[in-house]
Amino acid sequence: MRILLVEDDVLMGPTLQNALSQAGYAVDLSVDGIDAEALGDIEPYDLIVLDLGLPKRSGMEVLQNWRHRNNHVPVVILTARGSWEEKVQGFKAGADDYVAKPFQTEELLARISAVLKRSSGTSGGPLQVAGLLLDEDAQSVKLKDGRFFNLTGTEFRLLRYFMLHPGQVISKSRLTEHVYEYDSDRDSNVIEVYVNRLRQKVGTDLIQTRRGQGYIFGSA
Amino acid sequence: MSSLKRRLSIGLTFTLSLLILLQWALITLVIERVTETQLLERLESETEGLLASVEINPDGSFDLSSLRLSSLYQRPFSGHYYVVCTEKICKQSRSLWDESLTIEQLASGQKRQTLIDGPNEERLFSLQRGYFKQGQSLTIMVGQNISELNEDISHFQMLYSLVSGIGLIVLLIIQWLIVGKALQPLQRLQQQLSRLRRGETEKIETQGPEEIQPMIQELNRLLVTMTRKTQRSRAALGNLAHALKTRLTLLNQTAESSELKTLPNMQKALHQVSRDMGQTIERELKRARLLGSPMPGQKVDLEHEIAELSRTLQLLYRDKSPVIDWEIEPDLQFFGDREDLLEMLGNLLENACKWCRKRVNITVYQNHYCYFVVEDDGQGCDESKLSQLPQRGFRADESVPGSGLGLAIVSDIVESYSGEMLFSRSAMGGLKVEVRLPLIV
Repeated sequence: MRILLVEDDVLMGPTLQNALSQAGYAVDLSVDGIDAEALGDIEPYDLIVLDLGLPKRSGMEVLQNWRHRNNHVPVVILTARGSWEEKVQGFKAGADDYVAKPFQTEELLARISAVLKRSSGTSGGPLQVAGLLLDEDAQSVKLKDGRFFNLTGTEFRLLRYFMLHPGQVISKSRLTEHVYEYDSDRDSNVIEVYVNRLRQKVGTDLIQTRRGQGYIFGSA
Repeated sequence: MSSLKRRLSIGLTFTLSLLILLQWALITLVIERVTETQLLERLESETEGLLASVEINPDGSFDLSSLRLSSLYQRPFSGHYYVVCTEKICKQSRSLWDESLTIEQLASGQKRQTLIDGPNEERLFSLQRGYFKQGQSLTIMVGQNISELNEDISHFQMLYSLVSGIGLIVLLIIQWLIVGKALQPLQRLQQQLSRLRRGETEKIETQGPEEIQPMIQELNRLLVTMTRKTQRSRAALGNLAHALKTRLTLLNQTAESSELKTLPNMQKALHQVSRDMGQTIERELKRARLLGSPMPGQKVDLEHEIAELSRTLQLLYRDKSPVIDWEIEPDLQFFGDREDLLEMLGNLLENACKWCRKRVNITVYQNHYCYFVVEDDGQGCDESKLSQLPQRGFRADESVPGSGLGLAIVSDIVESYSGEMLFSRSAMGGLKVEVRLPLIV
């Protein structure tokens, strides 16, 4: 899952980016409104965490502009004001959720996870698809037969993306886009390696290869 | 309270009345004087005429050559009389008929004017003079009946008083109208000010006369300054909150760092501190905003705001998807700060959504006060805990997440509007919060 984090605070931005990365998200950080608006339109993010008090262009305006251009990427607003007027405005502008500062990372992660599940049409609670149960906190997976595997960072990211998009044909480049950060070295051959390692853990049938198209999860 | 109109009216009435009274007195006096002077002049020439017609005989008697005398002295009780006396005999005009007037001898050169009683109860204005002619001292008195003249004068005076009185009344009415007209710009200004208070306008638009226009301009300038100050201080408060809360979030993240993960108590304590500080900032900033809100109340579109709030809450409580019903009395006009209202209703509704099973009701009606009633169909709250609800940080049920700040903020807002907040059990089962605010703040 690829997330755009828009936060102008020089200390908090990187710290939060780090925390989100540890939770298994590919995170890009943007520090001003104009840059964030452009990135949000260009890159295929799965979710955007948007601080409202931004330099150059306010978060509210950025959000309105995205929605105006039919960019329906899920957005979680971060705000320090905590007034109801802002909450109403934020949801009216098209926000999907709202987290008031000061928050604990745990709380933000829970909200992000809930919004992601909602936007992919999955019901709330732990992610459970095709007999697999994904523990997002421990980054581990439990199989139908009760076997239990710890996942590496990339494996976790890949599996979560598959599980949130079951039955869809997902190309390698799409996987790359949603699993890696903007500035990382993207090699689609590496994806193949990771998918194979994932197959060894969850079973080869669950992730099928469609030649020339990509992968499909859980259709069997 | 002193009324400008009354003061002007009283002052003008007093001066006008005094003026009219003075000129009435003056005219009356002048007319009396002029009449008297004319009468005196005439009588004087009469005496001169009489003196000229006196012919002293050698025996000491005298004759009056009637040719030179006016016929008025011949007709009985004509109102014009004379008496001419030497030391020995007196002769009086025929007009006196069988009446007689007593006179006193005056030395030559003496002169006396008196009012005496004449025949037939007439009042006579008389002039009496002493002469010396052909070795004889003479006293001549000429009298004229002034009853009719007096009657004429008093008739005139009556008429004149009447005209003056009517004139005074007309003048008073005119001045009253003028005062009313002159004070009209003030009334318009007052209307504008109450429109301003009701939030129907943002500045005073009325144009006033030279004397009031500067005041209107000053008021408008003051309004602009006040609005700018409010905006500036709100922005400053917002910035402060933003900076502090961002730092607190950072503190939270520091507490979550891998080094501190091994010290769960420390981590918990840090989280607790940042949460407490966050709440303190939140509540104190909101209080400061309330206290420092000099803006006149604005008209709030309740229906619209409540609809938006409900939509927001339904999104916030998507998993529960509570049904929020609202009933707002039509034509109800609430004047106040929109943000205050949103804050108050937002917290009340969120509270209701948090505790409800499925339904939340909000009723707004007007009955001398503006009432906001928020109810839910949850479990409600123990009677014993009802009074503690608006306390900061008090949470009636610790099992549901929350800061316990919401109702405390509502309580602050209600207080700042001099309103009241009551808690009771709702017929729907849950808590019923009733907020009563004065209609005009």
